[in-house]
Amino acid sequence: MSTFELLRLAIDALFHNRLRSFLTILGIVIGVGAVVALVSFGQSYQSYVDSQFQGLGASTLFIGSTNPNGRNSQLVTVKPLTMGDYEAIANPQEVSGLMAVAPSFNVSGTLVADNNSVSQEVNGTTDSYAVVQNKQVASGRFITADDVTTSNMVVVLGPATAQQLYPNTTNWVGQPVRINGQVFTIIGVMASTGGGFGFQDRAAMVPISTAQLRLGGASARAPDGEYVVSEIMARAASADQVASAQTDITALLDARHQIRYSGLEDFNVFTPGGILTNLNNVLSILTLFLSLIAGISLLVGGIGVMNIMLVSVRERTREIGLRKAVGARYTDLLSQFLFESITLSLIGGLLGIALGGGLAMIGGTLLPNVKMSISVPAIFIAVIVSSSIGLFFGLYPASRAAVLNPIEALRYE
Amino acid sequence: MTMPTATEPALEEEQSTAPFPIPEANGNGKAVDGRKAIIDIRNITKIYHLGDVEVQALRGVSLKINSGEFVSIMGPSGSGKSTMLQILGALDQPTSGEYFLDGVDVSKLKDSQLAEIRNKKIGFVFQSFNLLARISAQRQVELPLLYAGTRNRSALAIKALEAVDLGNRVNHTPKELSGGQQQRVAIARAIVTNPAMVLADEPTGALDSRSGQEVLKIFQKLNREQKITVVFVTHDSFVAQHTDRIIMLRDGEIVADRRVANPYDAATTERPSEDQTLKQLFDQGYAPSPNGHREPVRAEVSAT
Repeated sequence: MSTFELLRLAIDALFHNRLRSFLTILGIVIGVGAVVALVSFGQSYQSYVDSQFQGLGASTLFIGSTNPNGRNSQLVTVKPLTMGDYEAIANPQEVSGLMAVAPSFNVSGTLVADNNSVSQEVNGTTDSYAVVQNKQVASGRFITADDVTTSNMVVVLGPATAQQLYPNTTNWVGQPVRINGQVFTIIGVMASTGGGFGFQDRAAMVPISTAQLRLGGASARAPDGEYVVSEIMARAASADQVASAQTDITALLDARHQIRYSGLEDFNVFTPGGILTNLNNVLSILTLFLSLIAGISLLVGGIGVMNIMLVSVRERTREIGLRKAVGARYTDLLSQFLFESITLSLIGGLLGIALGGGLAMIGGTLLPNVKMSISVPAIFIAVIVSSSIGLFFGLYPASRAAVLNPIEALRYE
Repeated sequence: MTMPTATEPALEEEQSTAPFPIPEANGNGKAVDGRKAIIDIRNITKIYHLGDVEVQALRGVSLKINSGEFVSIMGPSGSGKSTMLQILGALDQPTSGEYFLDGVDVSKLKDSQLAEIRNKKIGFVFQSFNLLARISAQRQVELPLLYAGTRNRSALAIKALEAVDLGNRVNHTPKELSGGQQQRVAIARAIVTNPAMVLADEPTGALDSRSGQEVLKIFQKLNREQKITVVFVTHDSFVAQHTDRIIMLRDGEIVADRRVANPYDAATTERPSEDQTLKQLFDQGYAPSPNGHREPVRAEVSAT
């Protein structure tokens, strides 16, 4: 019998028992819907997290100071990161694969302009900072090497900070800002990045020498007199050079800080790329786990299909007997009933995709920052899984029909 | 006319016990009179195992039916009639013996080949019609063609429906048809593949006498005008007398095989009334009820 005829038979049979067919596919609809919704939701959230981390910079390394000592022990004398450490890392003969290195000396500051006041961390840094962070100024200019050399009283603001200080204008360059009581001039405002979970648009950057001399006070110098830096940021030439740069920097600072044992470093090298990988793994496992739970309802739905198909075979025993009498072969009856169960679960799968897509879209409106998209692989998997359910759970009832003895089937009341 | 029995003298004895010619290489056994033997059964037995009990349903039956014949197989309950129907219809296999249907040795075939034989060589008509619900007459008749993979199905189906005088009921579903019409749809379904024979199991058993006559008339027409071979399996002697030959089974053996001298013409002969039948049963002391009611006549029966 042709595929068209089989399909026609299947649809005829399903339409005859409309309510029963609908209730049977409901299990499949809910199962597929849940899987599609959860996978779409999970993947959309994952790509949102990805894009935010791209803002932080996947090929960026952050070197910070840390205290390896336990609460009551003093195994290690913590040496702060210094300008000497920065210069060593910036030396291409010590660490290879870096595109730019920027030191940062951070102080907490109170920024005042007119009547507006903003509490904001102030980063003292150099001209390489814009390169490391991959940022552009929207107006004015960034800090230059000359600004650092001559410790100019200039500041570059993030767009959000500039907006907070001077809400009534966008012409910020040249305006004065008081930072911790000292007057700075705005020389530039950064372009908005939108990434970094929103933190990156709030910034105030001054030349590092200015920060150390004018804002840092006593904390700007180490016990040996060297200027201290809060952190050092570096950008690898490419994402796959991050790991080797991390190794080089660790070895270099181990030597400079005289670290003898691994685990007792008084610094750490942090890579957002690594965090991203870990976070992605967690999100993937979470999505998979939720989908598996949703998959259980697919299994239950499949058992419902099998149950109904068994009832259907029993109800149509005489029909099966007649079909055998007029020449239906084993394969004819097997494919007739398989087609019916596959059609049943495939319709359920398609409705489930619509339901899951709808749920994901509704979920998307609850999280406006997350750009919701329906997972295409999830749709393919849903279609394949639901038709496999039809095949798998239809096989037993169909073979029961196909092996019926025609004599007994014709006699069946 | 009474039912022929084994003790009555034969009217036209068929040479059913004579040795059969061996079929030719192409499988077409030729009967003595030159007509093609559609059914050629040789010493068939059938044993059922019901638990530990062995039931011998057929004990060596040999039989030949030629193309264009109209035959009844009769017998009381337990005579092996149903077993005979199943074997003739290629629904079941004999325990031993050979069965040539249109030259093919059916007793040696596998299940899938039996399905093909049923599809191509046999048309079934059942007592309870066995039509599919909700489907038009045309699609009912197309069903065997569907399994045969025949093209041009609708034209063939309509032709078959016209042959049973249902050309104007092509799109009717079983619900919209009378019992006689439903059985005629079933007959159309049986003849649409142009089979070697039509095998009918109590074809009038579920019908009132008028519809039964209507169905018998169609069978006679198909047999006489289109030379279709028809085999009835029935216990109803009145129905059997519409056919040309009666084969009587008892306890798994053929006890009589005769030509019917003057087959009834459907729709012209009245079924013997209940009064006549009862008269035969009670022989004497039976008084027909004046109103035509079938009332038992207790007094007379108990008096004897």
